[in-house]
Amino acid sequence: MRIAVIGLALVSAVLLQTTLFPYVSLAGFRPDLLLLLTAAFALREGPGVGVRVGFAAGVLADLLLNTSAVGTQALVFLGVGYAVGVMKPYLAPESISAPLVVAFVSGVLGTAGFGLLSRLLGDERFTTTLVFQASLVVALYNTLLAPPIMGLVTRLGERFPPERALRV
Amino acid sequence: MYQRRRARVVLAVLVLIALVLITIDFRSSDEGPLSRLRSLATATFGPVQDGLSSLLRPVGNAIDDIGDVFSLRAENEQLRTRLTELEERRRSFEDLERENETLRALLSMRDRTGFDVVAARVVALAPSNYEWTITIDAGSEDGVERDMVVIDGDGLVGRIIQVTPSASRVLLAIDPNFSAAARVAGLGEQGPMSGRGGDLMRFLPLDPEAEIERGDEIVTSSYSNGIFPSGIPIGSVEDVGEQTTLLSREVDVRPYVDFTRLDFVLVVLHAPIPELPPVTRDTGDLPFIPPRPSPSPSPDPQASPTPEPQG
Repeated sequence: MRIAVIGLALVSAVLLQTTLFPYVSLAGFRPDLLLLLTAAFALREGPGVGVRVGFAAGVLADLLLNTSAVGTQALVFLGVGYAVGVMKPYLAPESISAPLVVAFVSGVLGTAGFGLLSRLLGDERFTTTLVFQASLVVALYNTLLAPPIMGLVTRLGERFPPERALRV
Repeated sequence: MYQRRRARVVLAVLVLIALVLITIDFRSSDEGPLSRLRSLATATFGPVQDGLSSLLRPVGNAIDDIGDVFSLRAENEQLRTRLTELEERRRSFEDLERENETLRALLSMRDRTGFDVVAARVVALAPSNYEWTITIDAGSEDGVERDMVVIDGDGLVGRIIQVTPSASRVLLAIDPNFSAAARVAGLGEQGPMSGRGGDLMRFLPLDPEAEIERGDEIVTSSYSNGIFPSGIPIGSVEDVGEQTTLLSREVDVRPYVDFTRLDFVLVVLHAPIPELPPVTRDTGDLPFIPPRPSPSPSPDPQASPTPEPQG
């Protein structure tokens, strides 16, 4: 049941990203809800969940949002999920600023990581300027959206708690 | 510790899977399994995305409208600024146009009268509420002398009462201290004319029984002291009063000149004094005899039609 709920959350994020967010794009860049969900799950439930959610979100993005090689976004997102999850013990659980900082940093890392990896794989569209601009705007947008998304993930986690084995 | 190690194992496995996926996608052509999977995912989610797009379009349009409000506000601000600029320009243009008309009228007056004149700009109005004077920027250096006549495109403005090298003061025709010899243009009826401040000017015909009518034109006359050249338009008869027991009659005259909007005037430096035209019409049954032609062009050709030679 938990997997289905998380899957639904990810699919909803993809749909929102393709239907509503184009209207709120800033300089052509939109918030990355899948990246934010990955960071939120990792921050709340640790690297194990972060890696799994990041991979699933990445594959969804690869299949439905990107034209880069399938697996590129998945590789980046699971890395972000793991990194944020590993940082969890060092962040105060009830802190207000921690989710905002995590949303910003993960926004920069996830967006820049995908851009740079795609460039490494030969995609010439991802210029340094474009990657820099996209990283900054997505990070700011994700920081703005962090409070409601973090709240949603917290409620999902309370309603559908993970297996103990996945918590770290 | 176990969970951490397990997370690392999961990380390693998923990284491996991701790398494999990337490799497969790179090595396979457009017809590869991952491409087919991508097509399948697109086909599956496409209808859902379409439906959701239709549902969310009004929301998106509303968001766009909010964005438009800000841009429209900025555009509105720009247009307001532009409008203000254009309004100011239009006012300047109208001012120039009015000035142009005034100067044209002055030129026309000069040409009609043939007077030797100097143009001057009005630089100040009356210094007090009890006298009607103006200051002009022409003085003795321009040839202006005391008692010279000042006119504009509409007619008599006044006379010079004070002269400095570069400016002069003009007593306006409406000042109570102003008086001039005048005549009814069509009748030749003579009489003194004086100002009454803010009220209409007053003409006292020497013949109180003269048939003066409302609308008759009053012009200056060289009769009496001869300061004023003959034929300068002063105004039109507004009201003809009843004959008094002192055998005099007051005629109210509305001046042609708008004394509140004087910008440019002409000072008459020299005007040939014409011969005094005869009283051309008797009050009896004699036919109308127009005045004799004067050497200078008539200031009002309509009021003084071309005379026919007598005898």
